[in-house]
Amino acid sequence: MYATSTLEKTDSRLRWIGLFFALGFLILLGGLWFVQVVSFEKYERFREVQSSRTIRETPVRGKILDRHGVVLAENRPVYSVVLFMENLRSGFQSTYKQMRSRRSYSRSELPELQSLCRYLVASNIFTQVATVVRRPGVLDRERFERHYSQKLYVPFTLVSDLTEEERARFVGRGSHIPSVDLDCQSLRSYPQENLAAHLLGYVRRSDPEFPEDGFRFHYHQPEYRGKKGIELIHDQELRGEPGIKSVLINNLMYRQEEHVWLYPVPGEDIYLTLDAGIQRNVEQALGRMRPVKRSAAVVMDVRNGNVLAMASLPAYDPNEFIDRLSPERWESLNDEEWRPLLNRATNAKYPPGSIFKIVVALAMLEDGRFDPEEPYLSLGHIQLGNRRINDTAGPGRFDFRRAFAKSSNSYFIEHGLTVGIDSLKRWGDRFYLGRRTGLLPYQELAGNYPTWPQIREGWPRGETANLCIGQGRIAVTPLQMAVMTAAVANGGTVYRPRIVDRAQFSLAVSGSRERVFEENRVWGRLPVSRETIRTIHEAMLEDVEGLEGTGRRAQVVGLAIGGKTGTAQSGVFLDGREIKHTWFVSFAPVGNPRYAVVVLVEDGISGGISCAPVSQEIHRYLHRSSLASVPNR
Amino acid sequence: MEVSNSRSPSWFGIFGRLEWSLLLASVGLVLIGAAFIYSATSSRLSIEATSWFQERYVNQFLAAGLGLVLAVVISLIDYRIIARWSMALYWLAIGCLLLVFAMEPVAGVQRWIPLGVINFQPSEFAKLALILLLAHFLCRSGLDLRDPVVFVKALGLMLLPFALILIEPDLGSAVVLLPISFAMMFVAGIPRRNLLRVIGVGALLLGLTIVDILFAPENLQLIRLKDHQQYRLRVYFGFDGAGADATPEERRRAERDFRKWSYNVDQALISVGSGGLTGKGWRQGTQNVWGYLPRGVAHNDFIFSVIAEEKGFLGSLVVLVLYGIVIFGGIRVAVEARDPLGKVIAVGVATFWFSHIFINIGMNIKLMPVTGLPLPLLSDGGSSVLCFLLSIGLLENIYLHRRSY
Repeated sequence: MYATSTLEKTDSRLRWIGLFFALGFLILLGGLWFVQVVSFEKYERFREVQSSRTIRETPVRGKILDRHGVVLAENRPVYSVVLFMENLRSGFQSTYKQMRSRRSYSRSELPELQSLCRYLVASNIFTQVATVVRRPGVLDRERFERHYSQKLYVPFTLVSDLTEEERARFVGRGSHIPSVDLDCQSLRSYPQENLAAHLLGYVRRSDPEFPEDGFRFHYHQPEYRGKKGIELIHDQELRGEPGIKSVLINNLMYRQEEHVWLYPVPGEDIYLTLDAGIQRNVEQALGRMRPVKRSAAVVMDVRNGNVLAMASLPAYDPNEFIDRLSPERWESLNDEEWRPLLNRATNAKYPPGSIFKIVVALAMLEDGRFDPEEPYLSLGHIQLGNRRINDTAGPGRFDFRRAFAKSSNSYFIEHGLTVGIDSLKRWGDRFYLGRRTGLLPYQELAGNYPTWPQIREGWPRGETANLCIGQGRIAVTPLQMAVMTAAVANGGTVYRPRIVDRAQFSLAVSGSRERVFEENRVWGRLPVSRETIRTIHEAMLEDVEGLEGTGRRAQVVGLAIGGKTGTAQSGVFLDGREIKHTWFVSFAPVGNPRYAVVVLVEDGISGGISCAPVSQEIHRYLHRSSLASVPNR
Repeated sequence: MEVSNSRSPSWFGIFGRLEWSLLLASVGLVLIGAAFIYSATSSRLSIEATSWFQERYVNQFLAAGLGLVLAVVISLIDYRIIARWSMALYWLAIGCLLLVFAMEPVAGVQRWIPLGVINFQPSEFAKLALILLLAHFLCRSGLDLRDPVVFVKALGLMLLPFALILIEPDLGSAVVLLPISFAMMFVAGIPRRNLLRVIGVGALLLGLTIVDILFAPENLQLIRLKDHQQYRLRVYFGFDGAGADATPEERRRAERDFRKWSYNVDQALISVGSGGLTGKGWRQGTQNVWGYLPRGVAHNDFIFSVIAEEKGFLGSLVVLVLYGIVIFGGIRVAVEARDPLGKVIAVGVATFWFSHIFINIGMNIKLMPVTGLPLPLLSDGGSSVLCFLLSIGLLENIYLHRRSY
């Protein structure tokens, strides 16, 4: 300010003016310093908030595979033609100018005219695309306007879900169309369709409304969440980590730049203990039954509790759940009588009937007072007070093996009553009856089994008698029976069933890492002697191989199968007759047990007639495939 | 500057005797202005290709070139001769201001006279004419200046263009006449007492008016401002206009209107603030390029926001320093002037610049309410560039003739 030095000699009033200007400059300088330097971060944040939109990128969902790597659930690419809106701006404007010059519009008509021009431009491109891919149609104006006003910064889908041919046509002849491109998204798909549907579960589209981790996204790519079965239970692993990207937009919301903050991390692949071949065979065996029955089957490796197959009929195709289900289809999936969505192997409970005699037999044999050789004279029925229980085994002399093979109710009730409810209760507990195995959370029933409080309250002899033949206060799931059969077969080790073998994370660049879920999970050991086990194995073998065995229809040439039939009264009457739930539990080979097979048929004729043939087919397959291939692990 | 002390008044020495710092600062400002007008307009999406001579920054250069030539011409004619014609210039300006009302309103206001290629804005020239006439009028003996009649006459000279510009309406340009006139009267020697009385009464009236505009219900408002002026004031005072007894519906609407009107200012503030210390780089300011800073005003009224965003605080500092050179150069010219006429004109010009700068930059950082005042030599606009360069010519004129008794 060289001016001030000379000021004094001339005019004090000029000095005042100079001071006033200097003060003004200082105010401006201070203001600018405050806004630009002190408050920089605040305004930078404002700027960011108004000009960036965060987008959640859906990671690729992990696959579900069987033990040999057969794909049960995967992702298929879905192609669509998308339109980049920011490239259309000049088109919008020139059309608008043209239209406006044709006649005069009032001020209030202009927004409508603009919207019309946008639609004309987009619909023109849509028609070009539609012609090229040969899928005629009209661009939905409302959908387009909604996208324009809300999500301008993301591409607009013109034609979705292109078929193979449509895609080829677009690639071949669509390159001249401006501002469009092919977009690929992955969609869940179950290549084996119905196979193991209940076990795999399904996914449904879900766009989370509430921010997770406190992070708010402006836009989500479509995302699928597991709603049932493995898809639900292992949703966390399968889902992966979403990517975050932000799109910088201009004042009209058109995209200017993109910034990827986090790349999506694909989900882990889940390998099941399931064997797709066995599973298919089991489902076919159940499905061949005529008339068609509601049924379930479980195949378990007795040496470690691995579930090799688990089927429930009727089944459904999980692919149906990807798109929106029609109300009629939804209704048929929830049909009261058939209930296709129900996993009967774990989520339904049935009285076990005679197959429970295996547990009763264990209690008897380990009781000490019982001699399996001692003959018992049956009248063909048993009288308890004023109640008479019939016996399909008929009258005659029975020792343990014959009684087991012919499933004599009288014999087992007589001896079961001697053993007593306390002992039966303890033996049932050793197989965890009345408790969930935890194999499929949300999809499993605990079943019923007498509890100690019930027993102490006063337990009538009649109830014990019912229990001895697997009726009354007992209900089990096929899976529980598989656990029981496997434990008896392997000599007394109760394994907790296991379905997921490992989760494997693989990326082309960083290699793979895998996480094996606990193997050989021993749940308990039965206090049984070898003698007892041998006796039961022999009795079960007799049931299949013996002349009088009820399970003769399960015989497979060259394979020693031990089994037990069951035909349980359900207490439900239909057309004047009581519905019977029929069972066949079995294991093979008897000398060196490997597989436990449980078959349940609702409303069957008898265990021997309805279930044993199905088991036969399963065992035959298991036998053949184990002869043909290397042993499973 | 040793050359400027040379006492020989010769035509050959004219380049040596010029106040070069003023000229260089002005040229620097013109260049900066053109560069950022380019930045503010080049990102605009245009359908038909514009020829280079239609570009705004080119127009700015043309206006600046014309302005520099006129400034040189004007600086060569002794300002005392010009001052003798000041009454004619003044009435010419008043005539133009009246002519404006015969023109087709543009966006509801009548500020321009279309002259074929350019729109001529008489209010800018009226400011210069008023400076000349007022200086001419105020150059009289100290005794005369103490006469209230002279003071009232001077006020009258100011109030005529003030009123005309006010009803154009161009509140900003009208208001600028006040500090210019008062500074000139103050320096010319009008008694402090008289000035303070008028300023005091004026300030009181202004305060009452603002309260009236902001808070009084519409039927009780003595002064009806245009809607946009009313909203600009409300935005400045952060008052959305909804009374305490407003229904929720009214309140919502008031809020929405408020936001609509505060949009420009808010975006300007975000632009300036997000520029930070060093800025985002020329043509890299997202507020500017992506259109958050409204494109209609980015290249003129809010050009400072563009500069501040793209060049940061350091850029703002450079601009302020250049303005400082001009304004304090003007004061130096006043100090060196050989007669009161030169001194008062120089003060008038310096105040003219200062008012524009303070109000415009202040508006960019919400220190001042929004008005359409251009930023000297930076804002796009031919009339204003021409005027400010002419005013530089006046300063050079006074400086050149400071010793030629």
